[in-house]
Amino acid sequence: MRIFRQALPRSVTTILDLSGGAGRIAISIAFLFVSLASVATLAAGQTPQMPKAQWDGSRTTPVHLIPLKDQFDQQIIPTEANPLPFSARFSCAPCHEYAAIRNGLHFNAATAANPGRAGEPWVWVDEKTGTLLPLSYRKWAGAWDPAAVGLTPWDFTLLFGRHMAGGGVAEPDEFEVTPGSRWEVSGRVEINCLGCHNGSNAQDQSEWAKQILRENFGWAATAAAKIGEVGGMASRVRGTWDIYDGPNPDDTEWAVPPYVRYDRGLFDSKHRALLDIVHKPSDDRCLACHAAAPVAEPKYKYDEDVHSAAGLGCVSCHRNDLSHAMVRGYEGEALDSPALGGDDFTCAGCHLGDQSAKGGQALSGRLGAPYPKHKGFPAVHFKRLSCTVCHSGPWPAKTLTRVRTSRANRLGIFGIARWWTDLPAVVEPVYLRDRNGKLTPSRLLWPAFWAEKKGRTVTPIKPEAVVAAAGSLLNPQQRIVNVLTALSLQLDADQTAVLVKSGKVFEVNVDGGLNASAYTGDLGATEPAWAAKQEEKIISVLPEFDPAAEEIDTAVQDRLQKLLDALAGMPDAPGKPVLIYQKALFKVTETYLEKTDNPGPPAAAPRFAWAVGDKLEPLVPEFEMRTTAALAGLEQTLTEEQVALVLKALQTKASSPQAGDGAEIVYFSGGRLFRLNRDGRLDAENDDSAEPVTWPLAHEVRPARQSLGVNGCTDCHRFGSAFLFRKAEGTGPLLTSRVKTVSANAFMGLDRPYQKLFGLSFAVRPLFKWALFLFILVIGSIVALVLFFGVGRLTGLVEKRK
Amino acid sequence: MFFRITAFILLAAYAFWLSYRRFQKSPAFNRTKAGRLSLDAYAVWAGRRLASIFASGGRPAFEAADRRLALIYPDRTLRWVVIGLAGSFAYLAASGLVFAVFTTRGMFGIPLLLHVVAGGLFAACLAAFAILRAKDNVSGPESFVIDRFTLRKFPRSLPPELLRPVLFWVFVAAGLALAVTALGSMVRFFSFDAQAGMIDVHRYSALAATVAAMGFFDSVFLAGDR
Repeated sequence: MRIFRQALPRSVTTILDLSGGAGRIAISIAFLFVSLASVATLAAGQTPQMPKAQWDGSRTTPVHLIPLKDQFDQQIIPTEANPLPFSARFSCAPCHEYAAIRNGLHFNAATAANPGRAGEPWVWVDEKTGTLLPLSYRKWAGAWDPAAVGLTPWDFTLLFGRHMAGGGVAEPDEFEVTPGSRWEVSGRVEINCLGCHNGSNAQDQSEWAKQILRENFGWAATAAAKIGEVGGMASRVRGTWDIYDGPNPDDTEWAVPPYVRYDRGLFDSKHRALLDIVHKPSDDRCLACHAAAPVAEPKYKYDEDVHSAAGLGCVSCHRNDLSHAMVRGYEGEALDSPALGGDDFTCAGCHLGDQSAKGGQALSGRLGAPYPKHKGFPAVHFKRLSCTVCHSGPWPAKTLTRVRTSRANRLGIFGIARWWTDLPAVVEPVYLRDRNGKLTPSRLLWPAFWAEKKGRTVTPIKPEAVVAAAGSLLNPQQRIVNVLTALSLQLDADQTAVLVKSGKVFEVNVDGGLNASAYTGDLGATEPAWAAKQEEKIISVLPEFDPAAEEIDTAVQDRLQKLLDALAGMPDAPGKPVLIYQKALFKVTETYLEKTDNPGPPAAAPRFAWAVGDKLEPLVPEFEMRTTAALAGLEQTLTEEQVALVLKALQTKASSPQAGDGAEIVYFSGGRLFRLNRDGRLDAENDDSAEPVTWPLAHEVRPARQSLGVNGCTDCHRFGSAFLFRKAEGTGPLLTSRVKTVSANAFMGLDRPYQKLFGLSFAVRPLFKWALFLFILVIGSIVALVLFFGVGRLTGLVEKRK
Repeated sequence: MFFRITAFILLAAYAFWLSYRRFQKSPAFNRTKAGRLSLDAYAVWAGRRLASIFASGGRPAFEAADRRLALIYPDRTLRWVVIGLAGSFAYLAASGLVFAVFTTRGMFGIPLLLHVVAGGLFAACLAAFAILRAKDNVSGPESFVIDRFTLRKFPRSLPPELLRPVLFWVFVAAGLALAVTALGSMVRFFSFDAQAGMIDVHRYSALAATVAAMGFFDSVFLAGDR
């Protein structure tokens, strides 16, 4: 005790002496408690921190019975009144470092230092303006930077979020938010971990796309994973709405804010959700965004990649660690991404091994990859061609194969409405040289867009700016749709109003456009005829009558009056609707049908028109009728006449204040630049910005017995070889014959006459080989004979000739 | 790289050795200090000889070559075979060795097409040449016997008269290897590794054939030259 007192500070011993026995005990206990607490705190501070989420070596995936967290890092209680959507950032983060993942390949488009080999760009498709604009944040050749085109991350997410994995530009920081965006209402699109790692068959890409379209960005992951049902539309909610505001009790029908009703069956008593998590995503997850399929081929005929057929999955080769910097598997990737493990997962990496490495690394046959002997294949091909030239993509046919891709043509989104688009037209395979000079098969897309051109600088114009300037020029069908809709109101229930012109019948479809089908009857032979379709029959909307008769049948009058009243009720009716027939003109005046003289030339058949002042105008302007008829049934959406008129309209209203003097409005399509000449007509010429955008393809890999060259050299080397000489014709939304045509040999940088000559030489090659064999036989026999003779002389078996 | 260096050094050195030996026999050498390497005089002598070949458009040289050929090969058929063989081989060696030594890409384009065509002609002419000349290149002088004593002192034991037959058979054997490796690359029997090996054999055979052809040209065609 004395020693203990001696160790205490003087002030404490003074207090002890003054406070008496009980006080001493109390103070001692307090001092002991404080001392112990200090020691404990010190001990805790010195305990080494355990590293997070290190792999312990187990090949199993832990059961993910985890609390779900919202964007405020609060646990989600599914039984709450208005629970928030779950946040991958905070739900997955305790074990998986979100900051490390967000620099991965799928999320770093705008921030990656090295874009690597070119890949498929996003394509901004606007059918009305004929826009097919390739976009990418990764600075690949031929793709435009979205920011340079005037697209903010918000716009980009709205356009392409349907096939994005989340993160990246769809998850901007506070300082990156741009005016006009509604991130505070919609939430950010976080990295959708479940989009790849959800093992449940309920993971729904269509639901993801639907929620993105509704601007329910923060709710999309919850809905797509079927963790809960998501309703409401952030797109209809006012910009000042906050997620904590919850639903609006005054509006439960239209502007309903997004909400979620969790599937309570997923949660246990501690509100932890059981998620079916897989370490390796199934191929379905990858194919949702990375699939390509030929246009004309039915699904059952499609052959999958030979690696898939052999049991490999996408992630067997396209691997990554926690950083999600994925192996893409092209030759030379080690130069772009040194950390990924070199060329382990290229074709040569598995099939040939790494000759420069030692030990097991040098061996071929990884994952059971067969060793290619390439018998009879001259070695020069391995210097000039990549493996994929012979082994990947469709067999070269006379024409390029048209394909649809998930991201360009919006595939894999299922529902009542049709999501996928015919445009853009992506074709394959086109053979181009990579940075090592080797030929590589690629996909190709011809861009189409409106732009300002000043000198050599081209600036694309956004579709909305084009629509604002062009007005109804880009919507020639609308008047016809309005007329047919108006007329349909006056027909019988089993009849639909149609327009008959030039052997085609035009009918309004559910999207408010026109469907065209063939017609072989007499109507509409000379002039467009407004008719009614009843089952499969086409009949005139107006019964036949004599306009010169004193008394016209009352049924006809009644019908005519109703039709004229219907037309008068059309939106944007330019005047009063009338019917002209022979020398008579019928119109409705103060609810009565009035017949007067036709001021114009007699009409052989009944014809509706607008009376505008003293003039008579056609019901549908000739330009709109002509354009609609020209584009009927085609995937093109613009005629040259339309383009010329729109260029004039755009030139008048220069869309960019920076354009200044000297800026010219042009249109790109089919590999050509279209501009107005001095006479106001459309000229077509070549331009760098009209060149196609290409990106290498590697799948689908065909089996070895279906590779190029399996039939001999003439698979590629012959006079009329499709591989070397087939042509790629420019395609686009513009209906024109003035498109660019590029031959396959031009893409490869090969001389056409020489390749023709070289191909021709293969016709005589078999004969040449036989002749060579004969000469070798002769020379070889002589040499062998001399050798035997020499050996015989040496051994004395053969005596020297005298 | 090894082949390129080897081929360049070997051919350049051999060509220099052959032409310097000829220079040593010429009067121009006698006027210099004998026994010493007279590169200046050699260069002048070589330049004058080259100029004389192309003088008057090369016609006198052409006629002299024609006469020499008629002297060595009186038979017209044989003469045409030799012309075909020499002409095709000259192009094959020039195109092949230039691309092999001075480029990394390898032969391509029209030179490659012509190389293949010339190769066919070369094979045909070589077969004919072998048939017509094999008998005259089989045995050496009467006094020469191949026995263990000869072999022990090889190559000094070889009489000078054997140079031509040795060069002949080296050329034929190399030509055979060239043809075999060329045909081998055109048939569907050999794997990539075998093809790569055949390319190397083709190159070294071409080198051997070129050396033999140079020696043959010097010892047979230019033998009567002063």
